[in-house]
Amino acid sequence: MRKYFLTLAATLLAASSVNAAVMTNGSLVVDITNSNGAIDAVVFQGNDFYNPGSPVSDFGLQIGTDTGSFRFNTTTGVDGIGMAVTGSTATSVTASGTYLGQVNVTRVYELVAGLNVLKVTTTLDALVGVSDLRLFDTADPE
Amino acid sequence: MQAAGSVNTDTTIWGFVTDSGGFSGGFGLGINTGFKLNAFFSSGGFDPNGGFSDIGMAIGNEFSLSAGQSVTVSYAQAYGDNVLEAENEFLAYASSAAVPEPTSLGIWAIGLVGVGFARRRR
Repeated sequence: MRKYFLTLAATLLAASSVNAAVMTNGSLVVDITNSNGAIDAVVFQGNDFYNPGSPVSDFGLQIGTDTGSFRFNTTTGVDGIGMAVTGSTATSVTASGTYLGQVNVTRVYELVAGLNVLKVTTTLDALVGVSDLRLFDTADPE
Repeated sequence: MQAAGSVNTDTTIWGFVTDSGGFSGGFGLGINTGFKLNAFFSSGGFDPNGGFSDIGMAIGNEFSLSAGQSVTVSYAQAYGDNVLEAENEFLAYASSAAVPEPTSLGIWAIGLVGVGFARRRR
């Protein structure tokens, strides 16, 4: 198998329940795990990009370099932040939760109309002052 | 990448992780501990330019927020049957995506990173 990986940069601003909330445009099918709001699977024209091998499509938070505050939610079901799917339509899924009682976290996954594009938007609402809050997304497409 | 407003965005990086120790100390694919996250942030990003047999993607942002302040981050994943198709999907999306003005207090823009994935050949 051969894998291609491209990156580009641009600019932009942004904004149901047991196993997975599914959205699709026909070619692209995306499952979001209800119990933690992480991507469970992205299938494009029948090919699963994340689950072969060691599945990785995770996101997480940490305060500065304090590894004790590291929390992440994963394709494999880890729910360190404490999130769940809170809403969905045919082309979007919203998950919400709270990180360490300090920051409300909202993730919105959307299929962009007319394109095979998944847009992922994360909003962090600080309940208290937080310095050096680190947000990360990581993925290992196969 | 673009940041706007008063939110402290000291670090906004993106890059690759590899199965060949692309980051300090053998990073491995994914970020599953705070120590690996620290290594990722301290590395400043890394692009193997195809030099590794297996690669992953990581995006990191760092903010300092006051109580009641919020920040939003978006990125996009584009898919296609081949590299060009995936790239075109992303470019079509990027060209149509407006860059709104910061609206109310504490609502600010952070950058968008697009990642295109071409369908695997089986």
